Amino acid sequence: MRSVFYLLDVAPYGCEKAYGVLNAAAVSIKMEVTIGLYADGVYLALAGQDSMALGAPNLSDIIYAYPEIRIIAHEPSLAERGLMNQGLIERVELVDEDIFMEQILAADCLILL
Amino acid sequence: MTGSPADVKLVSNAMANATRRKIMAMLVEKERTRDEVETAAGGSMLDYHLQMLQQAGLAEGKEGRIVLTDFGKNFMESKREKPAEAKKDLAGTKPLEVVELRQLLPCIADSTKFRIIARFEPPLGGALKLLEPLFPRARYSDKIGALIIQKGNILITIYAAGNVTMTMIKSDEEARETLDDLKKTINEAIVKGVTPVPREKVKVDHAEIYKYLPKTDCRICEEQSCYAFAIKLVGRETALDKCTPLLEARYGTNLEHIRTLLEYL
Repeated sequence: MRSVFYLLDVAPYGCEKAYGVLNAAAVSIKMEVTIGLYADGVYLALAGQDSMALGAPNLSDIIYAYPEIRIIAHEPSLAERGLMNQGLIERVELVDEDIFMEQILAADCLILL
Repeated sequence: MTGSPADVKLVSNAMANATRRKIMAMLVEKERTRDEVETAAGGSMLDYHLQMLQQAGLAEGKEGRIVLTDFGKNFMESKREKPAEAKKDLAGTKPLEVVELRQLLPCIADSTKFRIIARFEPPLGGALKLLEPLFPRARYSDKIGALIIQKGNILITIYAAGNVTMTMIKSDEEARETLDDLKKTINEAIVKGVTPVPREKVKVDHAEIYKYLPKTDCRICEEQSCYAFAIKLVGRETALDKCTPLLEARYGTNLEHIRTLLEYL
């Protein structure tokens, strides 16, 4: 297996899925790793995350710390949630529905937690 | 468009997409029919992209044609002028301070070392690109908007927003020393201007790559030997991921070395 696509479709911080996906992606960086943010998962693309009050790790730190992990966000999901006028983490790529699907199909493996 | 921060971000995010930039570039030349735009930019998501441009106030449909709005024209005009206005020196850039330093997960290649995330303030923004000549081994990546610096085995990534990450760090002390050196170099450049240092000649030939390959001549990569694989790798005739033994834990550090070297090809 040479490439893996992790699909995150739930919001970060509400449960541990986003943290799990990021950690799984971090230990997969010997392969070509992409995390696709879809539906409520796109909230992970927001800049300026502060999780201090939650006592949870700041997930955007992990995004910055692993530049090897490609992160794409499903743009229609961002638009549906009114997030297109929000600051986003600069290294998250915004892609349309077609490109998002292409990236899933191009990967050797798709993982959902 | 009111020019509020939300509007600015809406426009910025609308222009972050390559297909929409292509559509805007076409519309700058002249107004277009839908078919013309569809032929150049692809049809399957065209309605969606046009809707995004319309929401950002950059383009609109008018009597069956697609045109730039006045705001869209001004925006594209300002973009055209931007290269001339691009930041040429560090004038106005404020000295940096390290405001945060945290240890993250252990490095994959070597579990005795860590990834560190730190934060510089104020963020360097557009000045970041200008700092590339300050370091013997550094390159600015437009793709991720970050300056990547190699210092021995440590890979440092500085983002325009102020985040700094470092890999292969042995201890908090090493992290602080590395950050202090970095801060000192950048702050000196802010005061005295950027003095380019001699660029380190990064030797990237097949012999250098071969040093880090498993040297087992297993032929999994479909080449005659590891040496032949190294030659083809340097010639861009094969891909690194064909050497699957490199994925084994014992070759983790070698893999990171080869990836770094390939960045300089």
